[in-house]
Formats: sequence, structure tokens, C-alpha cells
Amino acid sequence: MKAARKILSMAAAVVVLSFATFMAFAILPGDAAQTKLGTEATPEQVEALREEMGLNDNVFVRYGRWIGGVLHGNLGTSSRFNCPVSDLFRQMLPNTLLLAGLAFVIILVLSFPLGMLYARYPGSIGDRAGVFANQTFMAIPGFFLGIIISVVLGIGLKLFIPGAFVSYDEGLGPCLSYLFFPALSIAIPKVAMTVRFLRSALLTEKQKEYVRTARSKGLGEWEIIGKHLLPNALAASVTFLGVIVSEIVAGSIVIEQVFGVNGLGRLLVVCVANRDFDVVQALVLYIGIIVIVLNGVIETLVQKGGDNE
Amino acid sequence: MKKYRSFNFICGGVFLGLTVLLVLWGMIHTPYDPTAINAALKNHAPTLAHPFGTDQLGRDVLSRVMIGAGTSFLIGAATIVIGGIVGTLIGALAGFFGGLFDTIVMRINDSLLAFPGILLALVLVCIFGTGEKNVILALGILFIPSIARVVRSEIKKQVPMDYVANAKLLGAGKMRILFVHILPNIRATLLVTMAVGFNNAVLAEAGLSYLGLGVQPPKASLGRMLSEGQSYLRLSPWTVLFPGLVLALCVLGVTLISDVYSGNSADTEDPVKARRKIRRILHERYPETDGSDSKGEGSGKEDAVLTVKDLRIAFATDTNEPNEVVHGISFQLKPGEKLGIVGESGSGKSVTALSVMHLLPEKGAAIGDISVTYEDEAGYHKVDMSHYNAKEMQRYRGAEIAMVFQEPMSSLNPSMKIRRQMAEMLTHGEQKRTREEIKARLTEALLEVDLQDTDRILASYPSKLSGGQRQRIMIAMAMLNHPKVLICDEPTTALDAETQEQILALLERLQKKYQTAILFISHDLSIVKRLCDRVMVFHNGLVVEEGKADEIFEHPKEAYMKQLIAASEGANYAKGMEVPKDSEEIVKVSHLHMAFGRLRGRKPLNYRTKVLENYNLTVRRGEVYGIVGRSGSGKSTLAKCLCGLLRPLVGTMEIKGKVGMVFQDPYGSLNPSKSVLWLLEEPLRIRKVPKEERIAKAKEMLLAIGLPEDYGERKITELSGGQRQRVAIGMALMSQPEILVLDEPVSALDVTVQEQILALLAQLHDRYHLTYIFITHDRAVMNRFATNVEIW
Amino acid sequence: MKKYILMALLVTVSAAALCGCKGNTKKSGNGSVTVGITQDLDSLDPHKAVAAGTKEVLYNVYEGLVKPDQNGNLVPAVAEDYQISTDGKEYTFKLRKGVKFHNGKEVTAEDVIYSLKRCAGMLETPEAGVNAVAALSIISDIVTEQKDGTEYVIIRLKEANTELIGYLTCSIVPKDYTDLATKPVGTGPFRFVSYTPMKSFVMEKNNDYYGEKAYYDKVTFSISESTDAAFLKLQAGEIDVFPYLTVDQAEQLKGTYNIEVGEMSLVQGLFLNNKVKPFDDIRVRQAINYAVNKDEILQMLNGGKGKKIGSGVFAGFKSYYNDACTDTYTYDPEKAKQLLKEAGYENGFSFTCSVPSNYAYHVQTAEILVSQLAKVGIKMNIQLIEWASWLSDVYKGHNFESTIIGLDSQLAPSDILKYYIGGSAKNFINYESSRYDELYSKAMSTTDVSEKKELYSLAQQCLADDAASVFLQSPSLMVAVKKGITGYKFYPVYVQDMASLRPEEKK
Repeated sequence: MKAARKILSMAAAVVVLSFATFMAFAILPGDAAQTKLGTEATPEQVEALREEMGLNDNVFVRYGRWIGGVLHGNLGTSSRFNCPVSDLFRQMLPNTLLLAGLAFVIILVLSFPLGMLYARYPGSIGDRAGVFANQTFMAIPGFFLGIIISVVLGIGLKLFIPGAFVSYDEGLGPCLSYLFFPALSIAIPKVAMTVRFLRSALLTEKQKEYVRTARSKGLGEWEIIGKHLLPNALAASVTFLGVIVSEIVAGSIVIEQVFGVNGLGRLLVVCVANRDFDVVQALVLYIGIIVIVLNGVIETLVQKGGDNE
Repeated sequence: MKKYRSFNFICGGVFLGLTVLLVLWGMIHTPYDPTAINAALKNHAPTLAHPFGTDQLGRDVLSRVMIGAGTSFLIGAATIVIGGIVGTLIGALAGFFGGLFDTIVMRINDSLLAFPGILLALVLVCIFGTGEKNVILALGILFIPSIARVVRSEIKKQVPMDYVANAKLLGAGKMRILFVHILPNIRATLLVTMAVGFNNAVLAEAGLSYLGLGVQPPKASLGRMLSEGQSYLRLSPWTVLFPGLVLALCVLGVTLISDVYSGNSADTEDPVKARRKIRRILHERYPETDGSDSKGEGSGKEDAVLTVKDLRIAFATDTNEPNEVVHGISFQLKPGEKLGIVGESGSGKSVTALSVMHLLPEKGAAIGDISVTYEDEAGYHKVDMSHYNAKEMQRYRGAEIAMVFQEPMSSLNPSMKIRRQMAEMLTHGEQKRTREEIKARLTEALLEVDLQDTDRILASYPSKLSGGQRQRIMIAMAMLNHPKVLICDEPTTALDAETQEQILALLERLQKKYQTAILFISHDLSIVKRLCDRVMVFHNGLVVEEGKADEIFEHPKEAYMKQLIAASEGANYAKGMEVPKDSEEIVKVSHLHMAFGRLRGRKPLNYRTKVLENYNLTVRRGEVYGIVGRSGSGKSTLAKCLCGLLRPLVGTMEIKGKVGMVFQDPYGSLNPSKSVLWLLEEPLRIRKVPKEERIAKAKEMLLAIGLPEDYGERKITELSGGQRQRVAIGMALMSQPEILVLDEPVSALDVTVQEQILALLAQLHDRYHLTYIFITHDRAVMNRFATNVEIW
Repeated sequence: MKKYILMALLVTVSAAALCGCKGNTKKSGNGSVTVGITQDLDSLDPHKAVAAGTKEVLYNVYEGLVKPDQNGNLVPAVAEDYQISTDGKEYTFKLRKGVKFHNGKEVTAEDVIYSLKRCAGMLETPEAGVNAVAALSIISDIVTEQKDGTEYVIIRLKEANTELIGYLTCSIVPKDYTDLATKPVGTGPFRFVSYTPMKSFVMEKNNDYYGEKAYYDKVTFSISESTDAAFLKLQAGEIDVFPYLTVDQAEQLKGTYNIEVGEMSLVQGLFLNNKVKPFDDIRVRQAINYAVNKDEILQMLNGGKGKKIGSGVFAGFKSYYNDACTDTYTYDPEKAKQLLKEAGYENGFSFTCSVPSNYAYHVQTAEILVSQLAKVGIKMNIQLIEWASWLSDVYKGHNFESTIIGLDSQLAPSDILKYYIGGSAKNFINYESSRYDELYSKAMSTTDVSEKKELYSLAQQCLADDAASVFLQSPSLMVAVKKGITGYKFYPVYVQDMASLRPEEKK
């Protein structure tokens, strides 16, 4: 019963979210027809296109039609790119997912060893310098980091050609090797946050008494951190990592722009500017479902986690 | 004061100070007009006239950075004020009240997080228009969900704590509890979240101007300068470098300072360096104990299995001088001998045991000689444990010498199965054992400690086992490698009487079977008397007496030993509190049923756990009604019903007069952020009693509970366990109750402190004509305090 | 434990190494060229495309009966030759033989008629989204004739108009070919290969092109988010040709690129809403004209290049351009203050200027104007608004005080001057002058070219005298061309002609 109630409330949240997006579009000035025809068209032509796009109907009628479409699996057509929204998604969703996935891998690969290292030698010079570096990386704005990486690693060291993005369907190898750098600029501030969180979680676990028992069994420090502290610290960091994932999925717009990655982030900016209603609604649905489901799952995990404490 | 000298705090202060200085200077007078363009000066490198150089329109970058930093600062500060206040309010209410309101808030929170930031910003800017004022509003609203989420989870952690129940009991209203009692305790987290919010707002403004929505040109903000300067990276990098630097300095400064408050800052002193310093100071103080002479004397075979010579232990403190706890202790343990160590907490007995196993806490160090000597097939071994070498130690700990600890509840890793935790003991020595061999060995060890159903136990998590079972597992684990020495640090203190008996019998049997030398540490003289051959008495870090067990207890030589024995018997207070038989019945409980499970309206839907079934109780005025029962038998639930914290499911309760309650854990039942006087005044403050009268009454109560006058201003966190329990009692009495429910009031305290509290309770019982309902698991205390006792 | 860290480092290093090997292999044959553009195409269908950024790309794939050349004349394309009847009511086009569509089909008269009608909105079932060119509404009939083996197409007009040829560059497409928007088919020097939204538009050499063939086998238009993002690609050498460079960016590319400089076919101005106080008073408009220092703007934004203008036409119109208007208002702050005093604004006034946020060039112009106008006591507040909001509020809704925008047009003088006709929907600055309207309509209808030039220059002078707005400049157009490539041609209209690119002969 409890699970059903949870799914219901999550579904309600998604509907509320999509309606909020819809109302946002109703408020924003300008519409798809006007932006499409630009300065050339005469008012009559703009009116004709509005009629054809159904922009003149009552607000709720349009929303109803959109919901109907979604239920039948048709996400509508993009007024900006004149193609079904599903095509755009097919082209760009994999790129964003690859980028988010790669960023998440980098975060795990970098932050866990670093977090454990700092927890092993707390208070040492290395630890203090590490925490200082952590805070510095958290202080750099995302797009600024993106530019620095492009200039230094791209133009300077020629490790990659900034802007020469290879889409996933043109070859996974080159695509991943290009995506490594935007993923890096997404990951760096997040690694700093994760290391800081992991370090404090490990240090709190280190004060607990079962660590003394483990030492009394003759286990080495590293063994204790790996086998005993990390699993417990992980239980605590599930919520934190959940937030990180939802941020990566929803938030890499600026990085996609700086690196010219053909992803949903960039699509969102272009479609909002062109009032491309169907695409933005589909994007909000995609981001909404992921973030809300993720938070719901974390909430249950934390409650269940609490029981076996 | 340690916080403010730390490296990070100083750096944070310097960075933030620099930015604030820059902003203030900008407010007073900027060297140039930030919007004045000058074609001749286009893209000039930094010179003396223009320390930060000029930008693509010939404007002075330094002046623009000053104004820009001011704008970003204003935006950051205003956002945390708007978002902070509203967010905290929503989060607090959701966290405290829960239920429908909480789910709705959480769902809206999630959808706001999922809503694309740029669309929200666009809508807000379109509703309120662009410009500084509206960007602040937009960012403030964007900040609300994140702070609400943090505040909600923090409040949810505080709500189940005893001090909240205590406040409710004293009659504080819901809002008062939330905002006066709970909120101050999450100050640190609140501050950190605000700092993060400030940084996010400043960085978000940079993002917004990247999309053209932030502060309108030609007015500068750091974000706008960064986004405009992008394509001049090679031509005039200073147009991007300096704004980026100032932005980073401002954000870094705030993070560093907030980190110090959140406690996870790195400037804890390096424990390795601290330990080395302590050893150096101890050697300087006591040059003669560098362990040289013990070598000469011990050249022959030692008959003892454990030798400790001139052991000194000290802990690092804020000041330069380490605090010495053990001042030179020497003793020997013969093979198969059972040596007991008694003394009060703080006498150094546990610390000595820990230093033998090199398990001192991080900031503690010891000098002196510790050596384990034993004989086996490979011949005679003398392991010098004092000259610490990590690798070497690991080989011996758990093999030749093992330890059992006091708290079974927290001594096992909650998220690891018993089988794996025990198997770790078998990693000593080279021989690789197969899974079956290990399983057989562990099953055999568990059977040896009278645990049947070994497969279920091996496969279960610690939380699923009782305290007694866990302590048996600890013993089985310790004995796996048949160590030469087993150190037991208060192994039975946390257990109830019955289990205590079984564990002691178990230890005796194992000791006989494996001829293990046992070092048994306890504050309970009766246990040590029963188990040990020889006893040492510790007091303030020194051995005050040593000798055969029966000799010492029959006719102790030292005054301190006599005092200890008297305290353990303890005076009998019950006699002084006789009550006339015909006194009025003031508490009548009949057919009480209590259960935990999901309730639909009044009818209990499904009993998850039955706690009380058809329970009846009658207490007369002036009585001290004792209830003794095992932990988890529903005693606390009854206590909460009696004082009105829990509504009884079925059954009636007639109580004539007000009921007060004293909780078991002194550290949880008093609000950590308040001073003693404030807590004592609180019951009166709730009943709107005028200030002077409140303070007078509170001071009077301070004396009544035996605390010196100047303790009023002290914070709870600065008091000892005993002193806190006195304040808890004082607080309960301030609302003049006739009946006082005492839920395990003394079981968390030391023997001598226990005695003092019992004396206080007896004295208050007579002075205020109180009736006590005394709940505990310790039958000994009940026999000498309660007028009538009920055993569950 | 050690193994965890080792494994982690291994993964990171391998990922970095993976990308080291990404060199791009040079194909044989004449190779390929990448052109950087910062505006994504709005449609591949020539009759639906609107944005200048799209038309200049499609120029290479589609051709009209005639097409503009480098110096602004209209040269024969699908049509071999054309005559306009003396009464200006009939245009006769002689179709060129052997012109093939990219799908190999021969171009017939039916295709031409279908295309012209679709373009003029005269088809029975008008397609939605096709925006019929307003000027072509005066066409009454289009017929075809066979004369000694060659086909002719004759266009009859309802009323005389000698300028219509400027609008007859609309693209010729195969009759009833439905998927122009996904797989374009035209007659131009390049054939369509592929289009990926927000990424690239690729076309290849059309070997059986009737005219002068292109050199490069493949041309890729690489789309990037903004000039800054494109600039990153430039610095990395990923782009060979990049138009619309700023002067600062140009300076940073001296080493690997030649910078070619031309003029944008654009009228950039500070447009004042003539209905809104205080801009309804001509003295205030003139005062602002005097207070603006156009030379400083050119110096600041284009490093001195670009062309000052005084009225609504840019220099690209050559014969029709009236250069005399440029000096109607020279920079004279004192005169500006004096005019302000006369108009009753002794201590100045303040107004807002709504500037579209996606044009960094206009935003910087606004910032310069703010400090220039401040010298005469006028406080201009900049308000950045989104392009969509600019279109609906400013252009369509006419509710704004002032704005900065650039106006472009087809190769007909009437197209650039239509923004000021009284009462027209395009007259977003609400300029009312019966004299101007009279001059405009007379110029439109006369067939005598010299009289037409005289009337149009009078119209321009009238705009300048009335100080309809503050006409600033046609900005310089800087194009970065990678060393080793030559032949980039500047057009007075929005065109990126890739057919003329040639590799540099090695000396």
C-alpha cells in the first residue's frame, strides 16, 4: 500500500510540473509562430500559422491535446526544427546520458580514493591542502571551468579539438573521447563536494566503537577503511549521490553550450528561446521523471536504511 | 577559542575581508567611472594607472570589478535572506508536523528542483522584469527548495530526542517547541547551508548573465564580466582573470569560514604529530623510565605472560601541556591468572587496558614498557609492545592478546554479517583456510559460548540479536585464536543481572579450558570479587592497593578502598521514606493495553509489537513505587503513558495531581543549546510567570539540587553526567508536580555519582512530599530505595 | 586497498589516451572546407526559410530564375535571359537548356511556374508555413510559351513595377516534390548531403552544374552556439572560413588566418518610437542625432572599419544609395543641448532602450551610446530582452521607447525603405510623413531608372531631415579565411557563396 501511495504522489508531482511548464509558456511573451516567421512575414501570415499550430485555442484545450498525445506515445512535433520531437530525442538523449554517465563515473573514480586518502590521514598537511583545494574547485563557476579546460587542454595541449563534437551515432570511441572533457568540467566541482562529504562521513564512522573492535582483531588501517568504514559511509552518502545525479542530469546546460555538445541541455535553451512548446514540455517531462523518481527512491532507501541501523 | 586560530579560518577571513574591502572602497569612490568608455584605451594591459587593465570598451576593469563585486555580494546576501527565511520556515514546519503538509511540500520541492532553472528564471524575470531587484527575487525563490529540504531533514533528526518530549511535558506549545527549543540546535547546519546558498546565488547570477538575464548593462556584475570576456581570453585575458579571481575569492572565503562552523574543517590538529609531542614531553618529565633497565633484569625467562612497567598515559589538550591520566603503573599477569582492576571512571583503569592493546584514542599516547611473553612449539617469545610498529602490532593483536569491550550494542559493525566479522579473526598466520574450514571453526566457537542455531546467527546482522547474544559473540571472537591474554573492559556492565551471571560463568569456563590469563576491569566490586584471584585498586591514575581478592575485600588497608566498598553497599534510603498505609491513592491504572502499529482512528489496525497487556497499577501518595524489569519490557512506554506523552490505547488512568518525568539519558533530555538557568526558568516562562520571580525561584531550585550559584550561566554541554541529571530533576520539579516518574535515572551514572543522586532524590522526596514511580533494571538500587517493588 | 587506487588511475589515464588518437585523416580529391555559422537553419525548404542566416547557406543549393552577383546586379541563372516590357507589366524569361535538378530530372517550365506560384502564394492549396512574398501579390498570371525549340515563361502583372526582378530570385524546385524540408533538391552548384540540428549542414560538389563548377568536393557548415563558442573552434583550427568575426577576435587570429573585410548589407540604427514622448518632438530626435558620435562607435566596435550612414539605405545598393545624407547630423553636443533646451528638456531626460540579448554587437553599441548621451544629460537605460519577446513586443506590438537593431532586405530599394511607409505593419517606429509616402509610391511605379534613383534619394533625404531615427552604420563584415584558401566573395545581400572558393596556387 505504501509503495502505491508513493508512486501516486510522484505521478501527481510530474503532472503538476508539466502543467507549471505549460502555464509558464502561457505567460511568456512571443510564441512559436511569431519567432518562426520573424520580421519578414505579414501579420496575416503569422495569424495563419498560429491558427494552423492551434496556438489560438484556449489554454486548457491545448494542454489536454498535449496530454492526449503523450498518452498515445506521440510527443508532438518541434516547431523550430520541423520534425517529430521523438527524432530530436533519439539524436540528442544518448549524448546527454553519455555525458552524465561519464561525469558520474569520473566523480566515483576520483572522489572515492581521494575521500579515503583524506580520511586515512586527517589533519595532516596533505589533508589540509586537499580540503583547501576542494573548496577552491567548488568556488569556480561551471562555464568558467569549461572555458579554461577548452583553452588549456584543447587549444593549448591539443588533447581534443574544442567544438568538434562527434555524436554517438558517428562512432562511440571518438564520441566518448570528446565527451571526456565536458564530463570533466561537470565532474570537478561535484568531485570536490563528494570528497568533502565522504571525508566527513568516514571520519564520523571512524569515531564509532566497532572500529576499535576491528583494530583489536589486528586489521590494518586501510583494511578497516575499505571493509568497515566505507560501506557504512556509503549508506549515508546515498542521498548525497542522488542529489548529485539529479543535478548532472538536469543541470549540464551551460557545459553543453560551451563544448557544443548536441545534448538536451542545449536543445532546452534553443527551444525556450524559440517558444518551441512541444520540445520543452517533453524535456521537462524527461528531467522531471528522473529527478522525482530518484528523490522518491532515495527517500525510501533512507527510511529502509534507518531500520537496520 | 581553538576555532579562530585555525589555518582555514584565517584564510577565509583574509579572502572575504579583501572582497568586502574592495566593495566598500568601490562604494565610497571608484578610481574611474565604471561605465565611461574610452576608445583610445581599448584592451590595455594592466598598468599602474589601471591596475586591472581596461576592457574591450576601454573601461577600467578595477572600477567595474568593485561595482560588480558589490552587486554580486548584494545578490548573494539578499537571496539567502529571502530564500533563507522562507525556506527555513517551510522546511521547519514540514519537518516538525509531517503528515500531508510534509508530503505536499516535498513533492513541490522535488518538482521545483526538476523544473529547468532557465525556464523558471525566464518566467520570473518576465513577471518581475529584468534588473537587479528582480534577479534577487528570482534567485531567492530558486533557493527555497534546497534550504527547505536541509532544514526538514535536520528537524526530523531532532524531533525524536528526549528534550523535545521534555519540553512538551512542561506544557510548551508546538510552535514554541519548534522555534525556541529545536531551531537553535540546527544553527550550525543552517549556517553552512546559508553559506552554500550565498555561493550558489553569486554563481547563478554569473550563469544568468551568460544567458543575458542577469544584471542589465552597462552596470557590471562579476557574472556579466565573465561571460562578456570569454572571447577576449587571448587578446586581453585580464578582463576575465580579475573578475574570476575576485568571484573565487569571495565564494572561497565564505566556504572556508562556514566549514569551520560545520565542524568538518580540516584544521583538526594532526593526531600523529600530537602523539609524538606527548611522548616527547613525557620522556622529558620522567627521564628514568625509558625502559633501559627492564632489559637487564628480564634477561632470564619471565614467568609472567604480560609485564607492564612504569606505564604513563597522557592526552593532548588545547594548551601546550598534555593532560596526564596514568602516572606510572607497573604490574605483571601470570599465565592462567585472573587479575581484576577496580576503581571509579576516570581512575585510568580502562585507558591502561586500551594502551596494552595500543588502542588509545587518536589524541592519546603512552610511555613505559609493555611486553607479552609466551612459550609455544617455536620456543620462548618476548614481544616488546611498547616500541610501537604498526605492522608488527597487527600480527599480535587478536592472535596472542585479545579484548572484549563494554558496549555490545555498538562494538559490532551494524552493516556487516556476524560470519564475516568473526572470520576476520582467522586471517592471522599464513595458512589459508577454505570456506568450509572457517565455517566449521566459527560454528564450534559459537557452540562453546552456548549459542545454538549457529547458522542463523552467522548469517544475521548485529541489530537482529540481543545484547547478551552479541556479548557472547564478542567473547567467542576474542577466543578464536586461543590468545594467551584476554582483556575484558566492563564486559557485563551494560547487561541485565540475569545475562551478567551467564557471561561470568562462561568466562570462567573458557579460562579454565584454555588457561588464558584474564585482565578483568570493572567498577562493580561484587563481580570482581566473585571472578578474580588477585585485585588491583586504581585511583586517579595510580595503583593504591594490590593483593589477593578475598583479603582485599575483607579487610581493606587503604582509606579509599574502604570508601569504595561502603559506596557499593550503599545506604538504605527506603527506611527513611515510610508511608502510612491509609494515605490516599493518587494513581490508579486499570486494564492498560499499549501496542505499536498502524492506527486507523482509535482502533489499533494491526499489533506490530504488543507492549503492555491488561496492566494494573495503584500508587499511594508519598510512596516510592519501584518497577524492575529487563530492558525492552515496556517500562519506558508505561512511563510515557503515566506522564501523558503517550495516550493509552485501551484502559483507564486516574491520576490526581500533576506528573513530572526525569529521563534516563542526561545528555539527550536537556536542550544542548541552553544554559542551566534558562532551563530551570522554562517551566515558569511557559506559564507566563514574571521575570524576577522566575529567576528567584530558579536560583532557589539551583541550591535545592545542590549546584553552586555560578553554575546558572553555564551551558549544559559543560556539565558532567551527574550535574546534568540534577538539572533534569530540578527542571521537573519547577512545575511543582506531585508525582515524579523516574525512568532509569541513575543507571547511566557511576557508582559514587549514583549514590549522590539517590541521596538528593530522598531529600527532595521529603522536602516536597513527592510520590515517586521509579523504573529501572537494577534490582540492587531498588532494594534499598523503593518502598514497594514490582518485578516484571 | 592499494588495488582500488591503482585501478582508478588506470581508468582515468586510458580515457585520456583514447582521445589522443583522434587526428582527422585528409581525404584525397579536392578535399573539404568547414564554414562556421552561429545561426541554426530554420528550414531547408527555400520558400519557408526566413532567417538571413538560413538563406545565405541555401544560396549554394537552390537557384532562382536570376540570382544576385558580387556587385549587386541580377545575373541570369535558371533563365538564360530576360526582358521587361516597356509598360513594365510583363516579364519574359528565356529558360536555359540542359539545367538539371540534383535528382537528375531536367528543369521544365512547369517546375518554374509551380515554384513561382508557390512563392507568390498563388497555388490552389496554399501550403502552411510557406510565407508568400508580399511584393509578388501584384502578379496576375504566369504562362509558358514554346518558341523555336526554347521554352519561355511570361509573368503578367496587375500594375507596372520595374523593380519586381529583385524579388524573382525565389528558388526553383521540382513540381509537387514534397520533402524539401528533409531532402532538399535544387539546381545550385552544391548538392545536399545531410543536416543535424544544432550541429552541421553538409553539402557536396554538383558535378553536372551548368555554370562555373565549385572546386571543393565537400563543404560543411558547422553550427555553434555563439560567436564565442565558434571562436574556440577557430582557435583550434577546426573551422576554415568564419564570417561575422568581431574586430577583437580578428586581431587574435592574425597568425593562421587571412582577415577579409567587407560591409554588411545591414542598416544598424537606434530606432526611436515616434509616437512616444519625448520622441514625438522632432527637435529631441535631432538633438539625439547630434549627440551621437558615430566615428567613436566605428572606432570602438570595428576598429574604424564599417560605413557611417545617415538614412535608411546601406551602401550595398550602390546606384540607389544617397551618400549625401550621411553628414546631415555631424557630432555636435552643443547643438544637441541647445535643441533640447528649445524642446523644454533643459536638464535632459531618461528613456529605456530594449536591446535583443542574443546580439552582443548591438548590446555593446548600446553601452557606447549610454556614455555618449550622458554627456548631453540624456540618461539611456538598457533593457536586454529575449529575441522572441523583441519580435512580439517591439516589432509586432510597437510598445517600446527605443531599440537597437539591424534591418536587412532583398536587392530591391523598395524592400529596405518599406519600414517607413505610413501605417504599414512593418513601420514599427510609427514614422508619419505624407511627403515620404508620396515619394516612395511614385518611385515604385516609375519605369524610368534615372527618375527612380532621383525619387529614392529624395525619400532618403526626407528620412534624414525628419530625423526618423538615429541611423548609425552598416557594420564591417570581417571574414576569417584559413591561409591556403582564397576566392571568398562579398555580396551586398545575405549570401555565403562557397562555389568561388579555390586553394591558393603555391608560388
